[in-house]
Order: sequence, then C-alpha cells, then structure tokens
Amino acid sequence: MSKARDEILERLSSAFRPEGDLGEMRVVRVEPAAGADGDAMLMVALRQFDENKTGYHVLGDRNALLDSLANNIYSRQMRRVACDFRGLLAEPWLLKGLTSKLPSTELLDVTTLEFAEIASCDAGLTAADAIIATTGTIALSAPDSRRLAASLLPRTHLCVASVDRIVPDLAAWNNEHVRIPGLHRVLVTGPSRSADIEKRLVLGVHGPWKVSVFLVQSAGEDL
Amino acid sequence: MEKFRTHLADPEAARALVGEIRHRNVGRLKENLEELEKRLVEAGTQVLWARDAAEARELVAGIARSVSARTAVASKTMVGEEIGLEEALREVPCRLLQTDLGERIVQLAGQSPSHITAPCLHMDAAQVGEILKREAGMAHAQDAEDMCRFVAAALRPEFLSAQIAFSGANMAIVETGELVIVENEGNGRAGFSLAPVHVALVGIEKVVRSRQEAACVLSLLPGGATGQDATVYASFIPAEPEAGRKRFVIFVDNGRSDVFAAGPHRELLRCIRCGACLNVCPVYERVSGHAYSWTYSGPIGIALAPFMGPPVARCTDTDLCTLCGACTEVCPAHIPLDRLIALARRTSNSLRPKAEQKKAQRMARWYARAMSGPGAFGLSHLGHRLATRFRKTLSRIESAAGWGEERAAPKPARRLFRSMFRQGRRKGRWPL
Repeated sequence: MSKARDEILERLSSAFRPEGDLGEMRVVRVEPAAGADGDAMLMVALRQFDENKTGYHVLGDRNALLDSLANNIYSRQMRRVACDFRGLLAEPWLLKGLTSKLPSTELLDVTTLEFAEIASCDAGLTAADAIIATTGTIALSAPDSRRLAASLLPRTHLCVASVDRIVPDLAAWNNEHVRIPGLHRVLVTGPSRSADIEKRLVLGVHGPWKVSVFLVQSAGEDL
Repeated sequence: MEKFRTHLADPEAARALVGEIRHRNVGRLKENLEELEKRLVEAGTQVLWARDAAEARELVAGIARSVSARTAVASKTMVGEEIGLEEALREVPCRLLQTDLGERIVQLAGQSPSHITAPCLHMDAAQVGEILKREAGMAHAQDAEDMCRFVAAALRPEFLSAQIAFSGANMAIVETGELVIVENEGNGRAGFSLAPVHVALVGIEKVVRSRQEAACVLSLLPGGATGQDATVYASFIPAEPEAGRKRFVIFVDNGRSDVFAAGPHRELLRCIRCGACLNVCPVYERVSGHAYSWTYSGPIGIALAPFMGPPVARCTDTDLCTLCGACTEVCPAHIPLDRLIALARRTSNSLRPKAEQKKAQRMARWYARAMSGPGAFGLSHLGHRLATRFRKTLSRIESAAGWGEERAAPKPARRLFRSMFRQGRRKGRWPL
C-alpha cells in the first residue's frame, strides 16, 4: 500500500468525530411531481420530452412502430444506421420489416463496427432499458461502451421502447436493475447541448443533434 | 421565492435529504474510501492516491509515460484544474486537449475557467470568435452555433485518436464501485468510451454509499448547476474496465483532509460542485471568477480557500463576500456557506501578515466613518468622485484597500440617490 494512501487515511481517522450514529442511513424516497399511474407517467414523460427537445412518436402497435421508424429513416435520407440489436430491436420482425421497407439503407450491427465507423453513420438505433418519466430520460445499459456509442457518435439517435418500460424516476430504475459486473449505464435526456457561449443554447455538440423516441403502446402478443 | 428549478414535488425535502446523505458520507469518509478502493481493485481498476497537487501531477505524468501517450483528451474536471493537469502532461510530453466547449475556448485563450460549470462565462461571443479565428483558424466566427459546431468538428478526430482520456467524477458509489459523470455535451462519454486508457481524478470527498443515494444527489445537481431537471448525460461507469482497456482512479486529497479536520468546516466537503452558489452570489456577478485567486471561485471557493487554496487565496479571497446568505439559501447540499465563510475569515485574517491586518483594520475604520451619517457619506462620495479624476490617486486608494489591478472599483454615480430622490419628490415623480 502506498505511503500517500496510508497518510491520507490516517489523517481522516485521527480527525475529530462528532458523537452520534453515522452508520446505515434510511434513504427516504423524495417523491417526484409525477404520479406512479401508467397513463399519468406517459403524459409526464411526453411533457418532459417536449421540455428537453426530444422528439417522440407514440404508436399503437408494431406495424405503426415499423412504419413510423421506416418513414423517419427514409425521410431523413439515412443511408447507414448503427443498430444495437438488443431488447425490442432483437425482435426478428422489426429487422425484417425495416430491411424490406428500406432497401437502400444499411442497418449495421454496432458490435461489428469501429468507433470511427459508428461516428460516420447517419444515425444510431437503440432500444431503451427504461424511460424515466419525471425527467423525460432514456435509460440505456450495455456490457460495453461500443454498444452505447450508437447513442452518442452519430448525428441522430433513434430509440425504441414500449410504454410498459416507463418508470417514474431514477430510483425506480435502480431498483429494477440488479448489479451486473461490467454493465455500463447511461441516462440520455435530449440532444447534446451547450450554453457556454453567452448562455445561448446550442443543440448538437459532441453527441447527437437530434434524439427521437418511438414509444409503442400495445406490446401485447405481437411483440 | 423559487430557489432553484426542480421537478421534485418538495425541493426543500430533497435538499434536506441530499444534505443528510452528504453529511453521512463525509462523516464516514475513511471507511467509505477503504471499501470503495477494495471494490475497485477487485474489479481490476488501478487505484492511486495523491496527497497534494505535485503528487497527483507525478502520477498523471507516470501513467502517460507508461502508455507512451502523445495525445490526451480531458472532459471538464475541476480536480484537473486544481492540480495543473495540463502542465503535468506538457512535461511528458503529451498534448492535452480540453474537450468541453467552454474549457477548450479558455484553453485556446491561455486562460483559466471563470466558473465551475460555465468556464468561459466571462467572454462574450465576439471575444470567443476572435479567439477561434486567431488560435484555431475559424474563418467566420460570429454565431454561437457555428462556433460550437466548429469546435466539436475539430475535436472529433482527436477523440478517435487519443490514447488517454482524463475525467473527473461527480460521484463514486461505494457499494458498486461505479463512477458517476454528468455532462451536457457528450465529450465526457466520448472520452472515456473511445480512449484505451481512462484516468479519473476523484476528490476524496466524492463518495456516496449507494445508487439510491446517487439518484437523490442527481435529482438536485443539474437544477443547481444549470436549471435543468436532468443533465443530458449521466454515465454510470462500472468498476470493471473493458477487456483490453485500462482504468485508473486517482484519489486526490490536496487539502481536503485539512478541511475534514477543521471542525465545522468539514461541512464544506458535502459540496457537489454544482455552482449554484456562484450563480446567485452578488459579488461573483460583479467581479467574475478571475477576481478570485485560485481554481474555485464564488462562495464555495472563498470558504475552501483558507484550507485548500494557495497562500494568496488563503489571505485575500475571503474578503469577496457580503455575507448576504444567498448561497446558503440555494445550496442543494444544505451547506451553511455564509456561516462557514464568516468563520473562514477568522482563519484567513490570522494568516495575513501583520501589516496587511493593520491595513484592513484601517480601511474598515475609514469605511465605518464614511457610513456614520449622511454628511460623512456625502463627503466621502464627493472625495471618491474627485479621486476618479486622478487615476493615480484612485489606484492608490484601491491598492490601500487591498484590491489589485484586475479588480477596478466601479466609478461612483454622478449624484447620490438621496439627492435624486429629493429632486424627484419635488417634481412629483416620487409618490412618497
């Protein structure tokens, strides 16, 4: 053990300690403004998406999801899309449907790409672990940072999620998430931004300029 | 009064809770650090400790040499500023590129950040444009959006080729060994995701026990910093480095254990570096960050200066406060900043040379006389106005007050408010 470590810890242990128990703490959940009811959470999430400049599409079923996603990619003339094929995106019908609707777009598996290649893609397509309603946040997790790069390096980030993935707050996502060693987790709340120059908000800095969420309501048997 | 924007139903309860969480985490700092270190080491992260800035610089330079790094990228890290990260790498030699937009601009300008979360707050768009034209060859630098995009485009290849990424950490979670980094631009994520080596410079006070505690802190941090409900990115980096990659965590003390041992001042270690206290400080608003003598400006910088700052900051920075208490009102970690600044002044005064102390006392006596009645105040105002006509006299007065060349006192108004008021009332413009 290093001398610096021992000295720092010694300084901390020799300092005065006030009386009283500093042991286990009861973490009281601070209730967010949103309720925990499903529809209410969806409405809160949509309001927050508006607030943080995330585009959103609420879709009835899988066909609507497929159409909306394909239209979005087609209308923005995206030729190369880096996809993290997990969760909802691992569904065979989705890849098959997109491939048939978008013959001139390459849907590339992000795990096979170098970072420079991911950066050169027109968009990144991911499936959300959860949507955090009170902040309008997309919660993503992955075993490596390459998969998460699909939500960072391309200029547009498209994200699919079913509405039953909406949770009220970060604490709820933490509760759902067991500790898996090596799991990278990231919360994405809108397009990357800066207000460093004269406090003027600019969307699109090092991360995506545009973020769109496709929420599918009727997961049902089809999904 | 809405103290700061938050999506929480009861912001006051949230502040109380975050204050309590930080209080307990700091109270058990030694145990928390030992447990966190154990978890990180078991997971394969290399943990290093630095007692002071010089030791931290040595460690950083050593890591850069060991991986033969020639280019490094850094996301915003106040600990990096504190220890002199750029100087440390210059000697390797390894080129360090700041990647936060504001940080990059002040780096190109050869300056230091003037705000914890908004480093180039002291510049206007025209000044930024001039810097980008002169230092980075930008052709038409007029619009903030263009400038922002230009810097981001210039840095993109650097992210892809850098051998090391440096970052700070907003929190380190003891139970999981995760590092939490919050940001808005995506430069932090790009740095630690792409570079094969990630070095996190972590102040020893940044520990929280659990993810739930981190969630509580995250619920207030962005509101205090920028008024957002959530920052664009909050990354939870696992303790386990990815295959083929290295991660180093350097725990930096650099005066923090002195703060820990300094009785009531220990509460300052609760700070989550959101910058809320700077945003409401009337003195900071007037003098800006560069008027302070070290890395941390504003109320938190003043309160920490006598323990962590360089000698000049230890003696003078505590003067830059009116004790109005606005900072205490907004602090998400419930730090009683005004009380601690008043206490820090005592420490600071005792550190000053005797001559300085006498000068300050003399100034306080002059000020007390000038404020003793309307006549004395009018006379002093007249004297000040006359003095502004003779620059040398004025600078002598300012120098006697302990203000340097970079802190020009504002010119006095042409007329006193009382005389304006009297005249206004005579003309019927003032109702009273």
